[in-house]
Amino acid sequence: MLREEKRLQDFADAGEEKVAAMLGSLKRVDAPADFDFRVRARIAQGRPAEKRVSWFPTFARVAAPAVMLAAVGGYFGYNALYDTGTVNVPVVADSGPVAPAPLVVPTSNEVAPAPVPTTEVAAAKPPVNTEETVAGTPKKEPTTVAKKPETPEGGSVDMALREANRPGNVVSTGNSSPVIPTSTLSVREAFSAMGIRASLSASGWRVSSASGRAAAAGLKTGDIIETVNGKAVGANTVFDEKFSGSTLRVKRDGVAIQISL
Amino acid sequence: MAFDMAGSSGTEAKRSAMPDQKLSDHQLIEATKAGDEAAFGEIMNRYRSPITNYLYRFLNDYEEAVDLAQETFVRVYFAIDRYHTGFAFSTYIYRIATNLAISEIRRRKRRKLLSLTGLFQSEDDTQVEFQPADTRPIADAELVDDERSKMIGKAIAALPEKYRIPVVLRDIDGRTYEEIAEIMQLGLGTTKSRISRGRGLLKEKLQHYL
Repeated sequence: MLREEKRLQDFADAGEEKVAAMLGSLKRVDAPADFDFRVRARIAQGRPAEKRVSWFPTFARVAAPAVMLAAVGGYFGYNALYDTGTVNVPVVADSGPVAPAPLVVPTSNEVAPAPVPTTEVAAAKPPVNTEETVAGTPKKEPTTVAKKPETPEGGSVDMALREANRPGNVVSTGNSSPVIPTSTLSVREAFSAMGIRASLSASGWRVSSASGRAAAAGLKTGDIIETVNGKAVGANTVFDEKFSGSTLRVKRDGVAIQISL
Repeated sequence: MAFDMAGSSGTEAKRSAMPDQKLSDHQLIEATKAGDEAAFGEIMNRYRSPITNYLYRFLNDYEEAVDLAQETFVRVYFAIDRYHTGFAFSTYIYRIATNLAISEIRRRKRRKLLSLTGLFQSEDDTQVEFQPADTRPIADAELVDDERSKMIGKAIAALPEKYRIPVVLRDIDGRTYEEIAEIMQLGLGTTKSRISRGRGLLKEKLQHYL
């Protein structure tokens, strides 16, 4: 056994010796003739500046710009995605009830509030959360609006409408007749809220029927309504959204009567 | 210690000032420190070819070897004040050359990593450093024309650094084991083991030439 190991070792040594001999037989390479001159020229130029080794790894030097590009591209891509309107529906849906009014308005066609064109409202004040405007706004704004239902009675649409309907903030469409904002009440709507049906006659608003609390308070058909809460009632009179009719002055058979609902 | 370019002009006065070639390396270093430029010339005269040959066998690229050999002497010159004669100058200069060669190899590897051509290398070339074609005139045409030498050079260049350095120093440059251990800053046993292992790898690669 030992003899075999020694034989293998000798064989290996012989192989190594052959390699060593082969390497030793390689021709030697000499320095070029101008070697000294070049060295002296380099020395004359001064101390060689150390090659600046960047602490930043090569991989990172390539990866960092790539990541930044991806981030920028992702940002714009994300915005582009929102610009296509894919998120409009959920954002609008989150904004809560569209226009809740404090008064219970009967659903009859006659007294239902007229739908207000969205574009006109948007023109009055920018932050209206309708589909058209949300589609054009950056992603951040609808998200913020959706998270801030500040009023208990409604969402941002309600707030925007209220903003548009501040006193003196009447929207004009270029025609002579003013557009009544949705959150104000016309005379008919105000009367309807009190249970009164009336028609405009030469002498004023004539009651055609009275029901509910108006009838209970003693209002009768044929009464001419002169004032509501002390406010004279004309053809184009509007009432504030928080209107709650409580006091009426009517003329019955030429006699003025005060009726409290 | 500004270097005078006229030192290489070979005037009679300079020749007479040439140091005795019998002076030891340490004496020449001391003379160089004292401002004797001719002493540094003698150091270059003694080591330029061995260092060039060592770097050539290490890198398998003559031009690069010459460039790094020159850089080695420039570094020796500028660091000569810090050199202590506590150990052999040959060890010192070979260590500088080795470090430069290792840096060069790593730089090549980084280049290779970034090079798209690396993607198209065949499996046979995987262990060979990527080298762009060199169209310049070849300094030693006889050597390069020798197919056997080329194959041996490729085989050496394909060795891992830790085996390549000691094998080249031992079998091509003829350094002693002790010198090699000092240059590589390794123990004597480790050095011998690496030389043996390196030879074994070369033997496998060069079976046809043995």
